[in-house]
Amino acid sequence: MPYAVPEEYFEMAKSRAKATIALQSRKQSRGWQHYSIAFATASICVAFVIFGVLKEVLHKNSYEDFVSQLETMPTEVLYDMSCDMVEYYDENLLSDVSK
Amino acid sequence: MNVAKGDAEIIGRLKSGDDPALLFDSIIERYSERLYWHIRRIVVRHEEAEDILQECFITAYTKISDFRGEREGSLKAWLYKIATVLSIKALRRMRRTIFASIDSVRNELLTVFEDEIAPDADEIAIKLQRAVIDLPTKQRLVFNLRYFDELPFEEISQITGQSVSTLKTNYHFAVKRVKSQVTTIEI
Repeated sequence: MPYAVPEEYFEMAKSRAKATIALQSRKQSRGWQHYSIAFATASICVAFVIFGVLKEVLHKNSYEDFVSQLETMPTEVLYDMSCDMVEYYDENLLSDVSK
Repeated sequence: MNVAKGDAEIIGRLKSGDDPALLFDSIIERYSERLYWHIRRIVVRHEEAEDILQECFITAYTKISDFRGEREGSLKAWLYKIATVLSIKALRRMRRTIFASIDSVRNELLTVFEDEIAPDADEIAIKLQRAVIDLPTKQRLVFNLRYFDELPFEEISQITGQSVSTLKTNYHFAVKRVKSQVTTIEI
């Protein structure tokens, strides 16, 4: 061929091509690592959100149940409960403060 | 590292799930030089050919998991096809306007060629190359692949996507034109 080619170009080109492919291969595997880390992080976040929502819903439900129970309770029972609470308050909390 | 020697071995190892990155060393060893010359004969400028060769290997590497050999033909034809597509793209970029034909870059290529000639180049080889660069792109492509790379028409058909009969016609006209040009120059 009548074309000018720099000396030892082919050896250099081969090494360069091999290095480029090795770099590309590393980039690809690193790409997968990035994807797995991102996926794991996203999964953890989603799990937290689901846990939070469920906890809130369950808590809300039990609170609402308690309120509806209170509403339907006979007055005597409510009175007894209030007395018990006052007694508990006097015995435990006030005694702590006095110490 | 166990280096694959032939195309059949490379394809076999790819199919059996070997890491393509390891097999690529063999592919680079086998094909760097001839792909470089194929690209250089199309784009003429060394720097351009150098970049396209790198791009060709990267493209081949990223797509090799799709290569199965049945549809694309031989590994050699597949690599030549990638190199050809990238070189033609480079020629398209050289056009002055997007509406200009790809053959419009011939004059520019001939000018570039004058700067790219080796100091010790053979006079006949220079004349031949000038005549080849002056061919329409389709004829130039088939002439290069048949005359310089000595590929069979069936393989050139896999590379260019043209029928064997069309390629033979193009080659016939290319040879005729090159012969007449070289003879005219000598006279």
